[in-house]
Amino acid sequence: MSAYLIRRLLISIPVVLGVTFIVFALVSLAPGDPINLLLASEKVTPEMAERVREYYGLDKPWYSQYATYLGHLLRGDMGYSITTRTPVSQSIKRCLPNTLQLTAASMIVALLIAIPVGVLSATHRNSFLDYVSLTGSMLGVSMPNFWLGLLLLLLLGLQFKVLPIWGIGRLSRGLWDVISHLIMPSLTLGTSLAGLLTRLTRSSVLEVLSQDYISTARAKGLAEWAVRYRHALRNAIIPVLTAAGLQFGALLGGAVIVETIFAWPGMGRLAYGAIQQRDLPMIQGTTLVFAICFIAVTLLVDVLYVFIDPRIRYD
Amino acid sequence: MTEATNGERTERISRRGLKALRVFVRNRLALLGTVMLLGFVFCASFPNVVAPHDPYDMDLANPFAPPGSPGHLLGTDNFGRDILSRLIYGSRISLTVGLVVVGIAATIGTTLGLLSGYYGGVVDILVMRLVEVFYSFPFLILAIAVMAVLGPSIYNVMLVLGLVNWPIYARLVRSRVLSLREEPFVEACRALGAGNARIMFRHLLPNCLSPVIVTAAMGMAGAILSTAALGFLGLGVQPPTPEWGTMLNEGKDFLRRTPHMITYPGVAIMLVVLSLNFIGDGLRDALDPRLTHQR
Repeated sequence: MSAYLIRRLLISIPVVLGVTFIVFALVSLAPGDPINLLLASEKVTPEMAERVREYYGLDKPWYSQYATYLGHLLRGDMGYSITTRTPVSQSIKRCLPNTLQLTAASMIVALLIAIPVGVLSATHRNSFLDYVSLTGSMLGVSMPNFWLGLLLLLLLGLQFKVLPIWGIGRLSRGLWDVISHLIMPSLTLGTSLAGLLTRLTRSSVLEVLSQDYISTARAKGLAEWAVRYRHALRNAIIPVLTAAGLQFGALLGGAVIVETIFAWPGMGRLAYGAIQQRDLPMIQGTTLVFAICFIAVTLLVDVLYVFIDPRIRYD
Repeated sequence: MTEATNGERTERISRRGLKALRVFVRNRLALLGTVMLLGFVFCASFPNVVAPHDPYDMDLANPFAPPGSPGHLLGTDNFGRDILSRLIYGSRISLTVGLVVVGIAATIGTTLGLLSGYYGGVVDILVMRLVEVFYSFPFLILAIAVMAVLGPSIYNVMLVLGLVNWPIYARLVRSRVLSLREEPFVEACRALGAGNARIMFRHLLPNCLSPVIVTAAMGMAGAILSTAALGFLGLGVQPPTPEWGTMLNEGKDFLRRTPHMITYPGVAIMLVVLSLNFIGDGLRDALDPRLTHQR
């Protein structure tokens, strides 16, 4: 197990390096002089330009610049925001927990909808319920989340005024404050994943139910609920959880949109603000951290796999 | 002799095609999707015939007209432009962008997948590492970052989404080629003196196409959603062009006053994405019989 873990970590290294390289290369994609970009449009004094040039190693060839960039990263230095003049890493440290809170809540929403509905849909195959759930999940997948977010905002926030329309809740103001702020954003972000996972749960359960050991379980006289929930569900759930983990990236991507709509103080809104200001170091920093989060979650899913499914042995 | 086998082959292929077509047509949702998509394609092809107004025509005396107003079935926006006409012209943008994006992504992905699966070794390792790197970015994040740097324009949207979407095709084609490579027919081709390029593009590629087509249908749905998402963030097609996501972006400032400014563009996006997903599902059932039992 630990050997597998170490190998898995080692494989991640070239991937992380590739990711850092793409993020690094964003600067050279930008039209115009990087110095002007990195200092924004303000008047650039020769000393300032010199300092920036030295900091990023801009007078050296690209591979040397990349090495400088990596060196900074290893020390946790992601440069300075052009607009606030504060370290990028500071802003990210402040916003990351909020984004993780939102994406975790959305994941829970998606699983809470997908698993029961998918199982019912499979066990009542071709019934009215199955038809409704299939149509519903198709709608969920096809609905643009920014549209859903605006509709929820309009309906629950502005029309009926039952939920707060922006910002994040604080635990010091009670649990309901946290939850009520989370409902609309996490529904907005989780709906499309819920649709996807519902379909997956359904087909996974159907497949497991057609296996021989299920027939055996039925043949030895087990109650139908025991067959379904003890034997079938546990095996059917594995691919669903794997897919959920791999879809975490989609949630992170969606966070940019959802956080913008609901003014959620997370990484997505940070990135959006940075884009509006053309704050290149901040864009780089947020993109990099988003990718690293995603890599970490994929790694976690791989490792958890071993615990969920005893059939899998890595050696 | 060769002519006879060729004829036989065409007949066999057309018989298989017919069977796939029959499965597809029997799927009512796939048929519904096709009809819906044809509707959008018609709007996109002849917007000047279908649309009642010019999509850019401002009527500053008549802004925020509610749906059902005389002459404006879906109302007007903040500049008094006819929303229905803008939606109809918008279908042209969404469908074009979707097609181009899938075209770029599928071409790059399929080629790299073929090379990677066929040659193996260093080529395979390089391509697959690249795929992993691209997969490590939450897709929309990478697109947003590059768009932010390149600057918003419809050409950049197509380019960026195309360049970000290719890995899925590479992975798909590669895994298919890996198993096909060992088939006797490849051996036979080589024995007959076919070169690598001929084996790859003439013999392996056609055998990989069905999953690519299914993915392309779904991919086009995804590309249309992403285009709208970029437009919504103000990073996509720029106003006053009537792109659906951009229209939503303009409408969100008047959310309370005129909800219809955001309702209808959203419905349009959803319908076109839904139709493509239905078609993709139907195609999968028709072209990939192994998956049919899951329905």
